[in-house]
Amino acid sequence: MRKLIILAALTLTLSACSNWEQTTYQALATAQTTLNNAQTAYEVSATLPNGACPAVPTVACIPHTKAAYTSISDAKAIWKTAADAMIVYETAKAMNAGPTALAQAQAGVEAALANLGTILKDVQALMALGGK
Amino acid sequence: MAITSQDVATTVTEIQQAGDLILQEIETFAPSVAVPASVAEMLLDLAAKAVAAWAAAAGVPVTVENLQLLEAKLNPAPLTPPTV
Repeated sequence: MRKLIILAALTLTLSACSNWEQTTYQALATAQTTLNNAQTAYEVSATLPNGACPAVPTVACIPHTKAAYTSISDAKAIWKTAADAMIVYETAKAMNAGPTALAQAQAGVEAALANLGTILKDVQALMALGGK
Repeated sequence: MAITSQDVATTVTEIQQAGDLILQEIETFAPSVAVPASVAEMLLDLAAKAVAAWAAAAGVPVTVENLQLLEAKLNPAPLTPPTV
C-alpha cells in the first residue's frame, strides 16, 4: 500500500484536467497498458508444455488457451474501436462541428468505452490469476 | 486543474475497492481455492501499474495526434494461436 500511496502522490506533481476528454484519454491509456501486459503474459506460455503456466511463475503468465486468446484479441479490437471513436470526436471538435455532431461523436465514444469496460474485466481476471 | 489530496485519497480508495472486487471474482471462480498473499501483492502491482499509466496520461493534452500515438503503442502483433 505504501507503494501505491507514493505513486498516487506523484500525481500531485502533475497537473490534470478533470474534463471528459482527459478522463477518456486516461481510460484508454490505462486499458492499453493492461492489454499490452496481458498479451506479453499470454505469449510467455506459448513455448511451455501444453501452453500451461508453471505453478509458481517467475514472470507474468497467462495460459495459452482459446479463452485467453479470445478475451485479449477481442479487447484489443474493442480498444481500437474506442480510440478511433475518440479520434472522430477530436477531429469533429477541431473542425468546429456543431453541438449535435459533437454529442453524437461523444455518444459513440461512450458506447465503445462501455464495451471496453466489459471485456477488460475478463482480461483483468486473467491478469489477476497469472499476470503481474 | 491541480490534483488535490482529496483526489489522491479517492484514487487510493478506488484501487482498494477494485482489488476487493477482483478478489471476490477469483473466489467466485474458484471458491475452493484460498487466495494467497502473493495474489494480493499481484493485485497491488497491477493497480500500481494502472496508477502509473494514469499519472503518465494525466499531463498529456488530448489531441488527434496524441490519440494516434497512443493507438500506435498498442501491441500491433496479433496473438499467437492458442495451444489448447
